[in-house]
Amino acid sequence: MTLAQQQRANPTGCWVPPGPAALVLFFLAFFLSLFIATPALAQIETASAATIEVPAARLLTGQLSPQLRDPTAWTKSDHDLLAIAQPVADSLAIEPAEAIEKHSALIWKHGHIGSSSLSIQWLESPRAQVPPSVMTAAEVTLLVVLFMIIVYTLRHLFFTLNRLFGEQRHPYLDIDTAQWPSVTVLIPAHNEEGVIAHSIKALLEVDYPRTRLTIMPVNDRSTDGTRAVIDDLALTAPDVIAPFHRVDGKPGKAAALKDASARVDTDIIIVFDADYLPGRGLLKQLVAPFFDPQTGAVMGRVIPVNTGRNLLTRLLDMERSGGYQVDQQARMNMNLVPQYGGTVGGVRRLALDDVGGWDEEMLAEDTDLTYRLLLRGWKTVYQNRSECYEEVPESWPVRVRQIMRWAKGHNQVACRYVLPLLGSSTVSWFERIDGMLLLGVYLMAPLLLLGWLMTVFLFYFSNAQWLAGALALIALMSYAAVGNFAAFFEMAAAAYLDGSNKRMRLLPLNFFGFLVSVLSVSKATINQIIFDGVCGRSLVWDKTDRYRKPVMAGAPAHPFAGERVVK
Amino acid sequence: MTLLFVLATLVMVALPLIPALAEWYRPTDALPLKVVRDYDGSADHFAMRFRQFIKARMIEVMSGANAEPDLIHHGTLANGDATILIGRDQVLPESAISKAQEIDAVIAALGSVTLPANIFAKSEVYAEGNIDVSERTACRALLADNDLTLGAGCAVLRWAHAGRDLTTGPRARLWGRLTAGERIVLGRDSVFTRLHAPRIETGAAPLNEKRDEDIERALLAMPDNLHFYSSNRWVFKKELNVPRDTAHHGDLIAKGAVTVGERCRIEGSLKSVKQMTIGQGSIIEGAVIASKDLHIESNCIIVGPVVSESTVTIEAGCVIGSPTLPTTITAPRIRFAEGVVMHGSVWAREDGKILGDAMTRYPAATTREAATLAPAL
Repeated sequence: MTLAQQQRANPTGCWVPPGPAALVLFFLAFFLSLFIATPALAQIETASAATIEVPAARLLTGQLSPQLRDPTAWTKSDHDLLAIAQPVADSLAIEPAEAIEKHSALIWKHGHIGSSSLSIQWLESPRAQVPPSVMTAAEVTLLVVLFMIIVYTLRHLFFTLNRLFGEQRHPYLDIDTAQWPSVTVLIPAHNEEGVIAHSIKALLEVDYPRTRLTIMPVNDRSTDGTRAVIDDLALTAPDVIAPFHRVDGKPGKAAALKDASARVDTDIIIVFDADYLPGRGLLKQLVAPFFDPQTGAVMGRVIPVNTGRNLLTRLLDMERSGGYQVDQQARMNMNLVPQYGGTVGGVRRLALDDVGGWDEEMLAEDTDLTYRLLLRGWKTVYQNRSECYEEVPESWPVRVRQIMRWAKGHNQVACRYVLPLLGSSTVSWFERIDGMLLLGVYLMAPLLLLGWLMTVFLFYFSNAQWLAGALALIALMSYAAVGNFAAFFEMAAAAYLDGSNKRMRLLPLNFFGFLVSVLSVSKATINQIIFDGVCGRSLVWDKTDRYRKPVMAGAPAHPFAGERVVK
Repeated sequence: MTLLFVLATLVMVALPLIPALAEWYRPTDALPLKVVRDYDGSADHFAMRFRQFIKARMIEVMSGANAEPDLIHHGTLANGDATILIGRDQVLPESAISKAQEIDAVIAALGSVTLPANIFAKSEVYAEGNIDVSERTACRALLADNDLTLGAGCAVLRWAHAGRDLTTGPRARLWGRLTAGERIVLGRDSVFTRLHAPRIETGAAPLNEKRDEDIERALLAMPDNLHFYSSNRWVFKKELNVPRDTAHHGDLIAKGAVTVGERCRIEGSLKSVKQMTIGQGSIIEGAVIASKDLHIESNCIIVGPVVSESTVTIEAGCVIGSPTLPTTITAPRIRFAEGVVMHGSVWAREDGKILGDAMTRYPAATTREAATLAPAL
């Protein structure tokens, strides 16, 4: 493999193991941590059993029994406890009872080791060297992380329950007869010779009035045969296909859409990525919500078409299902903030102009548009039954690159709209809260990592009582889904709603997908803060790899028709 | 002890992974979720597919050695269902009806066919001519290339399509899709779910009296409680009350209830996130969307789609859509008075009803007037 190929395969520079290797490595790391933790646990048991009869938990948590304050009521174990605490109390010039209350972890350690090494232990104790302000900061941080975990868990739980038992909103789905508005379908394409013909052919077969439809493939500075493929197809339907070949300008999807939109004079703009395969009735379904004058944007559901390729595609299939079937539809049901996803969706031209058009500076132009529309009083509508096939990444490096791009784009939007959203008087409180949580989804990954670090730190250095419950919660979360199991029951509910129950068995393996996502998103966020934010490095947009072979003459519009599933 | 602990932990970790690893190793559910790419959502989708199927079957039978266009042919489909092909000028044989008053065969007629009263046609019925269904007969599915007439109290369980007119008597129960090439006329007290035709009438024919179009209308004044406004879009913070005899150009969106007074004219669309009432004689040239109940008083003209997430009630004399601009009415519950005319589709996701005299109070607008109005978007 050449250096260029290597860079293309993994431009992030971080080493990403292939699927099975990641699995094995994760198991190794998991059991290694167990082996490290086990002796420590065993030591605790030994200490509590061998030293004295004083309850070890009381020592560990610093709990002071009421009778300890009254010397006349001391029991033998209390005497023992105070005897152990005495040297520490002396070194600090405080009462033994106070030493137990405030410095129990140290006393326990000393008591276990023996009084002969008291002064050395005390001086070498790391806890003694941690300033109280750092301890407080660590505890507050952990509390914040715990709070956010609980908030997101509840959010996902509400969404799942709403999807399973709540009233479902599909108010525009049945509009099948109307005076259909004029529509331009934009297909941004950068080096998409392998897939774009499928999309255009599928669009030529849609059930939409031909006189009201324009298909505009946006060839964005392609260096492969994309231009020739588009031009060949344009010759077959010159009344419908209006190619736009973009040869210069700022790179990126948002910039391409901006330039293309300047050439559009229709009421509605629909966007499909070049690898998408719309069905016959899809366009009408996506346009129907625009009869509602409040609708600014519409989003349909994407369904992976290469599900059976490997473990990664199967995991991503479940993740997508959870995100669309449960998360997006629940937000639609509850009149919250469904997200315009940039493809299999569209925007009203009037609304786009009202909010200032596409912002080419944004990596996530779709999320950016969602929030600008929201702040200007437009609604985004999600149509769960407007389904379209897409390709998902088939290799881990491509997946890592994709989610890092999403994270950076999303965080960029979050920085821009958190304050305007909070201060908006035109957006309801429910929408503001949901909008804030949606903006924060990619910030949860570094927060979780920080939470785990704080947990380990405080485990060894803090004697705060509330930590016992917090540690248990973190442990539960860590096992369930690397910090946030909420997405798991969303995925399970989605599989149930889709009637594909057997794929639910793969759910535990999503643990590894989440681990990769958490690390990738955290890395992207830290890079963004340090390099892009502090150093002023510009954000770079890159496209996701495609896996389909170039279209051949006479090939079916649906390129995966009849394909066998492979492991 | 430590080893036992590690082993126990290993088992605990591995247990939930066993079915996952098995599914990974030997996939049983790895196909992409099904997306019906060829379905275009047409209301007559099933009828057209059945016509394609039955025509092919009829050609097959009629090209046989003993084919006689004036006889009755009994046969069997590939799936084992019985078929009866009725020749021209023939009637449904009595033998086709069982003692339980059921017809258990697919009926195909080269001419017209009449189904007797009080029976249950459990399979599809097709006629190249007309189909007449007598009173209180229930049918699974009906397809007539010409006219289809359902008597009083008849029921359709799946779908019915007429190439020209489809007419039902009173108290019809129409649970499936009803489509017609030209017109559907629904009898009073009928219930329905989905209708599609160039013209749909409820109950007695509308009076079609001439509307006074020359009345003076004041322009809607810009109120204080606007969230956003532009030349063609006003967004209200709370409720919106449009005074009677008012005109407005542009879309009106309210986060509260909307009440449009009598004889108003809105050259745009209306949206309310709560209830909406449109006063009698008003004209809305765009769509009417309400998140809760929507009540359209008599003699209104609505050009664009009518959508409610609760109940739509439309009084007599209203015209929804036009012959040149057909549209859609959709809501969980739809209530029509007699004397309403629609052009396009009606979809009541829970149930639709034609109500009786209680709502018939006003004369109808003319569809010609509706046809001259501007497109919804």
